[in-house]
Amino acid sequence: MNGILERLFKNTIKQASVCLIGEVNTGKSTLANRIALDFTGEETFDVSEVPHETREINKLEHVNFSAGKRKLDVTLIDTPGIATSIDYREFIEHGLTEEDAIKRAKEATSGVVSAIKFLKEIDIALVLMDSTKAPFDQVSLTLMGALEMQKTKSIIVANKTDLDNAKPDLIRSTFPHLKVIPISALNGDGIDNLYQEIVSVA
Amino acid sequence: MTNLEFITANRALKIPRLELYDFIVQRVLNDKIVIIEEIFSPAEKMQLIARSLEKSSTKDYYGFKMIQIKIKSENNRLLRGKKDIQFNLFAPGSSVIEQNEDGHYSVKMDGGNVVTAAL
Repeated sequence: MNGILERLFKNTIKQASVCLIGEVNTGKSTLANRIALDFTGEETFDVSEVPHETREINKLEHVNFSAGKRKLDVTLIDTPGIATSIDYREFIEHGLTEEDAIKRAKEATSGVVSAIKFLKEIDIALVLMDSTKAPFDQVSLTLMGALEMQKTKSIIVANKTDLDNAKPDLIRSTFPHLKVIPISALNGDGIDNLYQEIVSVA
Repeated sequence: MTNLEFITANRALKIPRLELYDFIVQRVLNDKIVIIEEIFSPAEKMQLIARSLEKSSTKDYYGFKMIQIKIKSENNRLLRGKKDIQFNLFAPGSSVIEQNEDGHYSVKMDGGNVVTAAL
């Protein structure tokens, strides 16, 4: 009986939802685009210098993900950046009118709430951190704690290693018990290590 | 004038969680700083962030700033021989929280008031 089942499922490809989550402006959408480009040939996520560009959960389904000999049917999920406060005046500093800034703040606020509520549905979390910043922000620590509590498979992605002041080792020393993969989502450095890690935890 | 409210773990644990979240949000909404002895799990803190932002009105209330303050018993004469204690400090989202070189925390409020806490 086991042999029959084995043969039946031998060629099925495992499904996994891979969710990019983290603070604002850590490069989640840039990484989502890098993954999408590598496995579908197209960038599909919006990226901007203005914070909170991603204000709702975006999914790209049936991404034929592979690393080495392993293949996965991935649903790639980009989420709004998590923050404890959203000040509309920050958007005015980026050139938005007051009306547009308030609208963006409202959408960003509901985006953060939906990202937090979505945490329970994640198979694999790629927790993006900006390696040019000290990882002591309460949002990152709280987020990692919450994922650990619910036993979600998590990989910390220390992004922005292309910048001169990047210190991914600081992130490693803050989370010594977790896998930390330094990458540059912008130029692709370290991305293959991340892909290997994703298939190994899936 | 900025008010600072301190809540011990004993008091906080007597309040149902959702009521406690609303209590913190309401205080911060009224430009108060709340220091609460650590009782929240990370998952509860995420719920608190979501609860706080759900009440955000965008123009008058932007959410809160949150830091965790740990006091090691070895560095504090009052605590020597006892356990380390941790606090969470919640301040209005428009404020700026800084840790000074001497280890003190200062909260710069939107209106220009500065509150310094030596914990």
